[in-house]
This record gives sequence, C-alpha cells and structure tokens, in this order.
Amino acid sequence: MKRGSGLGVDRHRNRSERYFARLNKWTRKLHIFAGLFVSPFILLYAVSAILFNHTWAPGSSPLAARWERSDIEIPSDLADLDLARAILSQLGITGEIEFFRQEENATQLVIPVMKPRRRTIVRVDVARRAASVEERDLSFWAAILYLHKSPGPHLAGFRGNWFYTTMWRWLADASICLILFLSTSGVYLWSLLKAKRRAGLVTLVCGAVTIVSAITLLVR
Amino acid sequence: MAQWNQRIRIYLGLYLLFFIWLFSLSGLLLNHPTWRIAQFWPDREQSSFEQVVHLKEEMEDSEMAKELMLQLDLSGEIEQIVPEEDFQFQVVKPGRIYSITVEPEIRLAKVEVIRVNAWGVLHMLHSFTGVRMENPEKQRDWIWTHIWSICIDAVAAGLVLLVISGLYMWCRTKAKKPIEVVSLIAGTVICGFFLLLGIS
Repeated sequence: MKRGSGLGVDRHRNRSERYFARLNKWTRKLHIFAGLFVSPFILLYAVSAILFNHTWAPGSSPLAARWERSDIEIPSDLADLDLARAILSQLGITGEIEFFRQEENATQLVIPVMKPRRRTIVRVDVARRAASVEERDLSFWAAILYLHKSPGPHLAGFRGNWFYTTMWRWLADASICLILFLSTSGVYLWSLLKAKRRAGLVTLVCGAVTIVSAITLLVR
Repeated sequence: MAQWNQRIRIYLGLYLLFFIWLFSLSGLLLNHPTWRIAQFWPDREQSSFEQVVHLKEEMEDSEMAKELMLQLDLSGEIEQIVPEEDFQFQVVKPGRIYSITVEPEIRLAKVEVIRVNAWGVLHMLHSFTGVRMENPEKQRDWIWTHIWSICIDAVAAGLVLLVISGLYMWCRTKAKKPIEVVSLIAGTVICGFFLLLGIS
C-alpha cells in the first residue's frame, strides 16, 4: 500500500518536473525569438523617446518638388476624407491624410499627406479646379519621430486612413504585447536563477519604489 | 564579460520593469483612442475658484506666473502664457490642468481646475516632458518634470542597453537556430521598410 502510493508520488513528481522543464525550455525559446523580432522596434521607440524628451528636432526639410495640375474633378457629393481621397487619387498621391481643411470661404482646400520620409501638401483652388502640390523629403530622424507618434490619439475617426498607417498601428500593438511578454518571461526566467533571487528582488523593489515615488510626487 | 552582461541584463530589466509596463500600457492607450478606457476626457471633473492676488510690478511673464502659483498654492509645469489684457496661463501636471486668468485691475485670479481619472494620468505620464517639438524655446520649469524627464531618458537608454546586451548574448551562442535568424531579419526588414516609406 505504502509502496504503491510512494511510486504514485514519484510518478507525479516526475511528471511535474518534466512539465516545468518543458515550460522553461519553451519560455527561453520564445523569449529569444520574440526579443530578436522586436529589437529594432524597441530601438526605434527608445531613440525617438530621447529625441522627444530633449526636443532634438531634425532640421527643416528642403522642398523636393513643387508642381501643379489643372482640370481636377471635385465631386460635389463627397466631403472630408472621401473628397480628399478622390482628389489625391487624381494626383497619384498616397499617404496618411493628416486632416482636411477648407479655407477662404471654401474656395481653397488644404490636404497635408504624410509618409515617414515625405510630407506633401496639396492646395486645391476650387474655382479654378487646379491643385498645387509641395513635396518635402524628411530625414531618418524625422521618420522615427513620426513613427513613434503614429497613429496617435488625435483625430481618432480620421487617423489610419492609409493602409500602412493601419499596419503600423498593428505593429505598434504587437511590439507592446511582445515587450510585455518579454518582461514577464524575463521575470520568470530570473526566478529560476536561485543565486540571483535575493539581489534581483531588492532591485525589483527599488524600481517599484522609484516609480511609485516619482508618480506620487508628480500627481499630488 | 558574458557574466557581467547577464548581470546587467537581469538587474537593469528588473529595475525598469514597472516603468516598461507603464510606458507600454500608456502607449497602447494612446494607440487606441476609441477604447472606452482611453476616453478619459469626457469623464473629467471641472471646478473653479477665485482668489485675490498681489501683483508686483515690472516682472517678467514667467516670473509673474511663478509668483501667482505660489500665492494660489499651485504646482506643475507652466504652459502657454498669454500676457494680454488679462494675464492668462496654464499649469499642467499628470492628472490636473489649471487655467489661470488674472484681472490686474481688480487683482483677482480665476482658476479653473480640470481633473482626469487614472487612465488620464497614465496618458499624461507617457508624454509629460515639459517641452514640445513645436516650441523648442520652452524650457522645463518644475523640478518634478525634470526628474520625470530623467526617468524617461533612463528607461529609453536602459531599453537600448537591454537590446544590445540581448543581441550580444545571442551572438555568443554557438548553435543559432534558423528561426532566430529569420526572426531578427524579419523585424529589421519590417522596421526598415517603414523607415524608408516615402523616400524618393
């Protein structure tokens, strides 16, 4: 009876050991796999955060091209984003439409269009049915600043009107999920290292105290 | 070297853990302004009060704003000073926005206070640097903004270090799996593709 139950305990222990060995192996594998994929995204967000924090703005972008086009069709049954899209498709311009503005008693339409490395401003003279287009090339640094903020919290209904902006939103979400996974799996992998548990716990508590103190002092 | 790298990786990661979670979750909220929890602005609480203030003559606008904050017992980062007929300025800190209007003739300060909920605080903490790209002349004027901006720098630099140390550790492993190489290349290519979008 006793012998039988002892065997059962051993079997149970072996099974749980095997389970944990497999869990540790897969956590380590996924930690490396996810970390390698998300590394460039983390660098992009981290470097741009430092730029934002010190207002290290890239210099003004020189004008790359300026051109005009006449005989633009301005559909009267369309408005806002749809109208902007209809005009841009005639001009062969793609990108994220930042906003749509009517100026000077609706005689002029202004449509700024963004891509990470290019900013285009389209001005449409409604009466003349003519469009003037200004294109500016943006630097690498301007691109990482733009991507950090994209799509952003403003004009929620308008934002994400370009396929690549929507895709970037997905990638930004995926990066966040992967960072959360990496941090959690990192904590799990650290907890397996008995020699570093005490010092690690002290560091974790110090980090918690720092953030709680900083936020308390900021919001009080 | 490898041992030191591992130590830095573990302790730096653990120290920054809660900061990383804070900036990740707030980033997620900023990325999804249509989520119910991200819409903290309609749930804001507004209140106001008035107080007689003593104005000293010949003071610079920023000095005047600081002096008024002292008298009104307000703290935060000074934003947008509008020195017109009525002296107006805004004081911001995570969770609270104060709009102050002073009528110099009757020496009365009207303070409108906006308070946002915890999600709003999280939202504001993400971008609370005290400076703006559009206005590079604006300097931080509150000690806690300085400290928070140091925290932001530390988290960003720490993340860069964690990435470099992770790549170093991976480079040292003898048997690199093809899927790991593919993962690194995929991440770099996708990120690079977006960084080149629109290049002529």
